[in-house]
Amino acid sequence: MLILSYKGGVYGEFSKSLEESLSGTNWSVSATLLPDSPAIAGPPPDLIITVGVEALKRAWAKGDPTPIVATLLPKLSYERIVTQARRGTPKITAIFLDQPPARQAVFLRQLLPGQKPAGMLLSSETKHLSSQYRHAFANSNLTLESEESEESERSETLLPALNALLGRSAFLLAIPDSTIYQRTNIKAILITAFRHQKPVIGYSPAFVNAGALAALHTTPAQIARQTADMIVSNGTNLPPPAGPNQFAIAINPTVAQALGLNISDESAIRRAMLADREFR
Amino acid sequence: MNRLTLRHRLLFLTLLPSALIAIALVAYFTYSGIKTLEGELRAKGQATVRYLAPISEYGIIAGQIESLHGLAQATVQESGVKAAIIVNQKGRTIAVSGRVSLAADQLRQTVNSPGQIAETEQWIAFAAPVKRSTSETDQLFEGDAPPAATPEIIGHVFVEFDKAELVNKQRQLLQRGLTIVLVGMLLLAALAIAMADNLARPVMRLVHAVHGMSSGNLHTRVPAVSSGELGVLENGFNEMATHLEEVHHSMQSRIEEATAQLAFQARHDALTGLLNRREFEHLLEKALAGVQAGGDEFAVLFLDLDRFKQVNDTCGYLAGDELLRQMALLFQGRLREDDTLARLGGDEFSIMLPSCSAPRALQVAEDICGLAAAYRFIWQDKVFAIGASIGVAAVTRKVRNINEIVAAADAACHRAKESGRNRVCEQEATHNPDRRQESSNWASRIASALAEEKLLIEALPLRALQQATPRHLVELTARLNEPGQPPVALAALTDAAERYDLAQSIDQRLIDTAIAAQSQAKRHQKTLHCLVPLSRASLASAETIDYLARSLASQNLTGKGLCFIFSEDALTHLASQAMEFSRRVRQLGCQIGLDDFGGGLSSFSHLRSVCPSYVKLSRSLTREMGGNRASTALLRAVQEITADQQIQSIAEGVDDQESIEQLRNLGIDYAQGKAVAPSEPFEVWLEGAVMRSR
Repeated sequence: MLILSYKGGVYGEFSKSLEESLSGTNWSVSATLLPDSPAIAGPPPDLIITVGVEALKRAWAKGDPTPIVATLLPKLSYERIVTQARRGTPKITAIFLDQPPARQAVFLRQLLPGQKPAGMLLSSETKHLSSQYRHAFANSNLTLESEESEESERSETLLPALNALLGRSAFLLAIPDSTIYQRTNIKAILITAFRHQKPVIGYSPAFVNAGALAALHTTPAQIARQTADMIVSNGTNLPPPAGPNQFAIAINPTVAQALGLNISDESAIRRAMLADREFR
Repeated sequence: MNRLTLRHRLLFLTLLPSALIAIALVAYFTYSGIKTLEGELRAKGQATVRYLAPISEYGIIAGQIESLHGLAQATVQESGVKAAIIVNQKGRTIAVSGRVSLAADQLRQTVNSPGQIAETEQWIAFAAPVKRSTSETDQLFEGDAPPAATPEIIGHVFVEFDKAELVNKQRQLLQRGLTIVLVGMLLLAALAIAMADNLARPVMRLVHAVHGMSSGNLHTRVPAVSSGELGVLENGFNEMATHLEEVHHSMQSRIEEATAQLAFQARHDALTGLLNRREFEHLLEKALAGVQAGGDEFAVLFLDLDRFKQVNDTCGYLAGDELLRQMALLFQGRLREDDTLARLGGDEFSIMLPSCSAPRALQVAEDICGLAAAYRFIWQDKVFAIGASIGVAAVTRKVRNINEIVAAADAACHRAKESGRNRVCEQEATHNPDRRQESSNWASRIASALAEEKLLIEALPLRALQQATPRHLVELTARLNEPGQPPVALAALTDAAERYDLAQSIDQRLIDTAIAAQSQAKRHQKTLHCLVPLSRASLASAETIDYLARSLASQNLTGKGLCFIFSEDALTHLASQAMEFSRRVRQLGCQIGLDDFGGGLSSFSHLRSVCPSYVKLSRSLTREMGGNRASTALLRAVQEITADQQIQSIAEGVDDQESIEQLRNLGIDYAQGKAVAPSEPFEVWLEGAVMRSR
């Protein structure tokens, strides 16, 4: 059973990709859209795969004992939902969208070689991640400058923090944080960074389109494949939640040009990253 | 409209529609221009806030007051922008530039879309919300944050525009529009005036020409320069004018001729070509003025033809006219060049003798009188003796006006006429205003004389020269006796009376007197013979005979004692009437006598036709009796002839005893005159001479 948060777009892509990956196995996919979730005909499903935050919210709230695989959601959202009280605790695991800090560090090194102080804006929700990043960055010969922003949804506090941060760092690394990187804030953040002539490294292709220099991300199709692999290999015996195995790179050459940066193309960076990993 | 001239109508027709169109067009374009300007301002305002809002977004978000100030200032730099205000989400002004007119609460309001928010006469304000722009993010990372439905409004921008510039521009537009209208109208007016003049001028020329023509300027022409109908009109007018002028000129010359003729006629007598009375009086005035100014004295002759009326009555007016012409020529031939001969009317002439003394004037008058007396007028087979009674008036400095001259000359002439015609009388011109008027009014004088018994019947007794006779023979005559006037003799009276058809009345008076005398004589067994002179009017009228017959019958008398006398020339010219009259009178027992016998050559033929019982010898026969042998011979011949026919002859005007003897010797039967007996009132004579005789 597949529950999609919304119809079309990335969800459709995921659904299609999952069906393709599971074809030939004894798993069949029965997709349903979020509003219709209560009415599911036939025998109860063996496994529920939620796509997106909303899907998980509903499935979790429903309280079915069916094991759940949450996909296409940030780690923070997953944690927020799962920690909420529930009758009975079914088996649940997740495949997050968040890239592991180590991969980020490798990516940054390849993308912006020699640019050491990386800046990160942290909110109260994400400040606990700073140590992980700092550690990962150190391995990659990077330093981390971070700035915390209280009430970060307000630009009055966010932008001064950003300004302060950018003064110290060579670029801004954005991580999924719904309190900071909102659709209303992104432009201001991007403009501020641009004022400082500092690139922004985002976490999704949309971020790149909006004006970030580059993003390390995983496509829904990749996640779907990873999900399929996981189901096929483990069945209903769910492994713990994990990050994405595969990744993609998005680069905005216009921004690179505007900032006067000479950036290698996506495939070159990807190759270099894989080499770096293997080297490790 | 109907009272306008052609020019005004043309102007009206040309100017009014174009003026209306021009005004409408300019008004429309000005209005739309003004609207466009206003629309432009609004569009500009909208655009300005629309652009200002997004670029202020980041400044508001980032709290970059300086950059917002810069934006506001840059906005104010725009033409027409009065003020630019940027407020934040809470309505607090964070950047402002220029002079702000919007109130604080207006700045705090929430505006959802760009637009105009306020407008006054001086300014207009626009506002736009500054919306937080959103960027596409990955839905996957949205987490549990709700998707933003509408963009958050994080502030507002306000821009105030000064309308002064708009008003200025609008005013300029209006002024330009008005100027265009004005200039256009002026051009149009000039054009219209030119057109109207061009059209109206030929018509006005025609109008002036018509005025000129009607005010008598016949040589008025219009220049035939127009084409079309106007040209035809102009040519037509000119042709008409030429024709009129020609006609006028020919008329004028005819009128002048006629006027000259009239003027001549007004001053001259048509018949004789002599000056007429008016002109003569005019000359008299001038001459009198000359005398009064110290010039030479002059004399005036009034001349009345004798026996003219007989010619006129006998032979018709043609003969009379001819006589007048001949007499005019006759007199003219005898006068000096300076002398003026005029015909005053009828048979009256007048002669002015300038620089002529009274004796000399008398001489001239006598000369002319003789000339007239000697003249014989011959008409067909008839011969007339003409005479002239002439009055002379010498004009001295004492004369005050010409009326005195005329009156004097007239009076003198009358005196000449009354005292027997064919003679000259003189009267000094003095101030005597009544005279002329009274003496000239014959008609009323005679009428009143008859009515008031002022006509005095006189007796002219006759004396038998050859043998004594018991019967009394008397001739009746009459005299007009008026108080303060000289008496008028019967001849003059009859002359005048004949003109007014009163002669018969006088004759009847004479007949009455004679019949009454006969009746009285018969009662006293006396024999009385009355010679009654009759006028020509009585001779020609049958009434006279009837009246006579009635009168005789009423008195129971025969006509034996009556003898009617008429003049020889009456007989000459009224021969048949005279013969008829004689016949009928004789039937009544009356007798016929001829007056003035022997004066004309035809006298003798009348003896046979009328068979008169008496003839009165012409004075021309008896006047020069004695001294002139030829006259005496003629008298004797007449006497012999009459005696042979047993006609009694009478000599009149015998004033001395010697003449009586001569006449007696010649065998004349009767004599009459002062030597026989003076004339006396008939009644007196009848009582004295007849009734008391034995």
